[in-house]
Amino acid sequence: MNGAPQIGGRAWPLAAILVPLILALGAVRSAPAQAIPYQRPVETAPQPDAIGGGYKVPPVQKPLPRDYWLQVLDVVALAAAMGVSVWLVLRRRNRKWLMALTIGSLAYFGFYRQGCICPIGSLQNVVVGLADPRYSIPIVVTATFFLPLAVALFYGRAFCGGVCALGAIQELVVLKPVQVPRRLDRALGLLKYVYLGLAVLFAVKPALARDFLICRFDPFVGFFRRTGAPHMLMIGGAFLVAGMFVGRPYCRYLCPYGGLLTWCARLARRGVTITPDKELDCGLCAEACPYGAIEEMRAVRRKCLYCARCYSACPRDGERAHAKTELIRLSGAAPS
Amino acid sequence: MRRAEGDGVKRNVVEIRVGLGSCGVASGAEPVRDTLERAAKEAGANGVVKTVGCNGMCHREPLVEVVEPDGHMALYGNVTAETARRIARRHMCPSRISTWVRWKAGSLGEPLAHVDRTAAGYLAKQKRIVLENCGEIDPLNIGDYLARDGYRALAMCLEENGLSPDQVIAAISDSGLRGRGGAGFPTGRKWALGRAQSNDVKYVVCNGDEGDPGAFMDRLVLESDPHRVLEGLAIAAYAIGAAEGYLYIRAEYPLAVRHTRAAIRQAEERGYLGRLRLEVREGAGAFVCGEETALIQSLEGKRGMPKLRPPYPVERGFRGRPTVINNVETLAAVPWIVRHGAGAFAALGTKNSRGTKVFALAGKINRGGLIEVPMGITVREVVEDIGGGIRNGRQFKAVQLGGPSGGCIPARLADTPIDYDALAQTGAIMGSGGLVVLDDRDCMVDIARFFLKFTQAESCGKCTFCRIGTKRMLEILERLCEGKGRPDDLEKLEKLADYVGRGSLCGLGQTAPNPVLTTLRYFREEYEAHLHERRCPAGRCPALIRYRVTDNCIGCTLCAQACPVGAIAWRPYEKHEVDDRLCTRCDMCRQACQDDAIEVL
Amino acid sequence: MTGEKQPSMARIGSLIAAAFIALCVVILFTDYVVASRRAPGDDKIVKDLQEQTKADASLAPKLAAEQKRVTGARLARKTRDNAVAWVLIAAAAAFLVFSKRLVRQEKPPAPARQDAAHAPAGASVVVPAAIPELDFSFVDRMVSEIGRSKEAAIPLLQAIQIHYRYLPDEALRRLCDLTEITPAEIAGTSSFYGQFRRSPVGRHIVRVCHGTACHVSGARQITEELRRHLAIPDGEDTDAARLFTLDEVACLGCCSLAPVLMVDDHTAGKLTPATACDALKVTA
Repeated sequence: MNGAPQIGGRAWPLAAILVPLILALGAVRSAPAQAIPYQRPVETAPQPDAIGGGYKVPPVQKPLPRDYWLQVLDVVALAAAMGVSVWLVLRRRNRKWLMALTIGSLAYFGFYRQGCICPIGSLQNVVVGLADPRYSIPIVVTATFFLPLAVALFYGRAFCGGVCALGAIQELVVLKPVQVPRRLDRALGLLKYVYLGLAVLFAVKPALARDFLICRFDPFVGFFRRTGAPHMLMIGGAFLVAGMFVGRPYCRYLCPYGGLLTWCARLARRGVTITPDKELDCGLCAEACPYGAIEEMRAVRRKCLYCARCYSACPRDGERAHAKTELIRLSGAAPS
Repeated sequence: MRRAEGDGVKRNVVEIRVGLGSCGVASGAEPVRDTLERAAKEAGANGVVKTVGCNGMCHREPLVEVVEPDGHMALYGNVTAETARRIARRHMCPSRISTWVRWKAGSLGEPLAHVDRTAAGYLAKQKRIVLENCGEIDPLNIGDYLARDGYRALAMCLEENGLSPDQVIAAISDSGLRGRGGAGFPTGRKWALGRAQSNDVKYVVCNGDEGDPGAFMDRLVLESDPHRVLEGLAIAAYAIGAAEGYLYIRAEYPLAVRHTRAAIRQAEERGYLGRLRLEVREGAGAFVCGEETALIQSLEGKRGMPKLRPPYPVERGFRGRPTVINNVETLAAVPWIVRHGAGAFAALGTKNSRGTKVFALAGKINRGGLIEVPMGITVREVVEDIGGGIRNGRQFKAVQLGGPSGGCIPARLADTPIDYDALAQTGAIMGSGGLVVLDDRDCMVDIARFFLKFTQAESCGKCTFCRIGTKRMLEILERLCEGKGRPDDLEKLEKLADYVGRGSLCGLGQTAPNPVLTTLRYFREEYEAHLHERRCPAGRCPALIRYRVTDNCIGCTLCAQACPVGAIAWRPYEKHEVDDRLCTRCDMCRQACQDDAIEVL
Repeated sequence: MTGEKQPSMARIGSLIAAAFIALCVVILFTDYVVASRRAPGDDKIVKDLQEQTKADASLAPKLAAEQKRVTGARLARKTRDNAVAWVLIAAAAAFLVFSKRLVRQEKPPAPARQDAAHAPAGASVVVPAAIPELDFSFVDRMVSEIGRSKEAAIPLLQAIQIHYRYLPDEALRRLCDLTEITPAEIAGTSSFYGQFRRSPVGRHIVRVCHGTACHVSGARQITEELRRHLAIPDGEDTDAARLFTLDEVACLGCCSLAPVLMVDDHTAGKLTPATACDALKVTA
């Protein structure tokens, strides 16, 4: 009986596509930078002729901004990944492929793009764009911000399932999750709104005092970049160790963007549904869900992080099913 | 929707009736009533909430009936507190605008009600004479009863130039009314005999000791329309010349006792009973006291043991005086007969069984409850048209008529008309009216054993054949159900049945073998399966069945969770197994399984 | 391919991977500590040299060499840390894979059974209630209300039973003293009728209907489940805490709601063995 997510078997095709893509992009990336003519702005600084000794101003090498078409490609990749996530969870209900997607997202959006830009941080940019008239927000950033929310309006937190790099890394470390008592879960869930408020507050400050808290306190970006402030690295490590036993603590309790996604998920019509199928209600899905998103045998959309464990644990329909019968869909959506 | 008959209620308010018989209360009608009363208070007296008895539609309890000012009636079944609120908002018109706005806003988006045609099917073939008022009047309000021609029959007797006792007796005789307690003795003749007695002191007794398991007709009539019974009793007393009457009601019917006592008080206050003194006496839990001589013994404070007849109670009964004992249902039909005339009653039914009979439809039926049907209707019509067929899509096997004195009529004889003689030919009896429907999962040997156990426990012990014979028969049946039958058991059973029936003094013993005899006659193959093959074809007898998990099992653990003794190990995603040594055959696993993966062998 | 081979391989694998992770973390940490110790010193040296070079141009190569050394060391550290970080990531991935396989060996936990439903009511308090001293003046009152004749036997017994909830012997004796009823008649009447009890009852009487409709709807299972739930010993009808007395009665007259039981005056219908125990909670 093998339900463990492993790279191997049928996930090879997906890996075979993603790996060369990443390598190719890496080749593009390491192209040498151009020289840009550089004008010294300040008169009082020592001028080349004043220094003497044949001093030549060294060519300035500024790292190029990323090619525009690549930025657009990022947005397209984000949209595509979310589409695949929705399809894998709601239609195919296959955890193996979802794991492959998760690892792919982690590799691309996490290690390759080094976690930037991400929709979570982009909310700060959007806020600044609204508050500061001199800041013109690039459209790709706006798109990065709105796309997951748009998907959430229809399908729930599909972004969280297999697309978000921070979520991906936590998803991979889930080993033996315990069910957090509902009251504690609710209380802790309020923390993300506090964090959201603080992030917005610090982002709308005037330019010099502005502080992007989310980026500064991102616990996992240090892993993506393999470098970072030691205290952030340790906090990140602590989150990962905690994540082995409490499913995705950052996603559930701290992610400010998750707060926005929760609001949008409440309006979603289609999403993960535990259908009332002749009151089977054996409870195995509720045991399988590590994120407390199944209450009283029905899926709670705003908490569901699109991991498809419930579907795979269903004795009727999932990977462990003996029967070939599908979960029967009754009238439309279940309440979230 | 029916139109209300002129029943004298003020017609500018909406009247909401909540059924609060015992079935209604047990189904949760009291919270419904509270909700409606609260809503009525909010509405500012534009709605009147009335508690009524039960109209017999027990499968739809709690019931709420709304009578609009223009006479339209709407019946709501399976009402909960929530739906009661919706009903109030829909029909009551609040006097304050703010309340009206609040109600209308609150009812936005509510699902529309739809008309349930099954009620029509249930009521269509019924002809309600005894149950005329049940569910439509407040049993504790004599005004309601008076508004529906209440006590008019009694007035017809007592007024000047009214009916004389002989005329009353003639009317009852012509109507063909037979005792509805089970024996079917012509009531008119009994009253005539009572009248002919020359004693000064005579008694009338109403037999409300409805001990048949599965029968609750008398309970419902006494709870929902007690004045009717009092009127019938008063007419009987007038007819035979009695001045004192008793109503012997089982103690297991506390609501019926309460309502009857209240009704007597109300009738006495208004002087309707004249010199007649009525008293309610409660039974004490002995089935045999339904037999008239035993009942008299019980009234006299003794052990309820039947006495030899003759002398019949009509000649020498309570305290040695002439006593006419009639069943509740019989007496409840009397006022109607007096009012409408004997011909109207005799026009219904068959030649020897005139009028209507109330049956308590119960068992594996979709629409159970109390029904009143004209005699001559077939069993099939009752089961299928009125009862709506067998529950859960199972197969109709038999009906059990007449309780422990009755017998089983198999499905192939379902076209038998309900008639005292036709039923007697099948081997069953009409009985008091209990009609229990059985499906293919009911074991007939088990049914016979059940009834015999009952009769054995209730046997008074006087007659040797009844006392010991029923015990021996019970032992044989229990051996059969445990798979320990001996080869000569069936012959012994038949012989014992013959002896017990012939050697008993009272009806209990005489009819105790009936369940065994009818099941042997029509379902002998089941007995033989129990005896020779140690097998229960219906899958019922615990010692002969085994629960087994089939290959349909998907490992969902629901059965393991449901098993109260832990006979199924908890193994998710694997096919479960029932440990036969621990299994108590409680059937909870089979009911819990959604994939039909548990079978009974 | 389960069995002894897999678990030990997973265990060994995860242990090795964990060791690697620990090793890498230690290396990174040491590097960091060492580098942060050295950094101020190095910076000071470079800064001093820069000052000196301003004054004395001949020190420029030395400055350049120092700067190169420092930069080289830092770059080397960066590369080293990068490599170690990759090893760490690989080790972490390996650890996750092995430990997930390890976790799969164990069965998922059983869902919380509704053990509350199976715990006998009041089982923790098993002190049988003491039978209190009874006051028999009630008997006198009843006799004066109902009557002294033999015919009043059953109403009197019923009144006594309602009041004391059973028929105490002492009350019956008093009854015989006050009325015309003889002790033999009382004995006969009270033993004949099913309603009368001569032994004390629990605080609540549970009557399970065993009428025909209830019988075919499963009254036997309900009674058995209640007996199990209340832990009533065989041959008795009251539980140890004297809270509930279980009685099987003939027919309660609610046949459409089969199976039915009554707890004191409250009737509950359409029961299953699971919900029957909940019906008892009405009284609690």
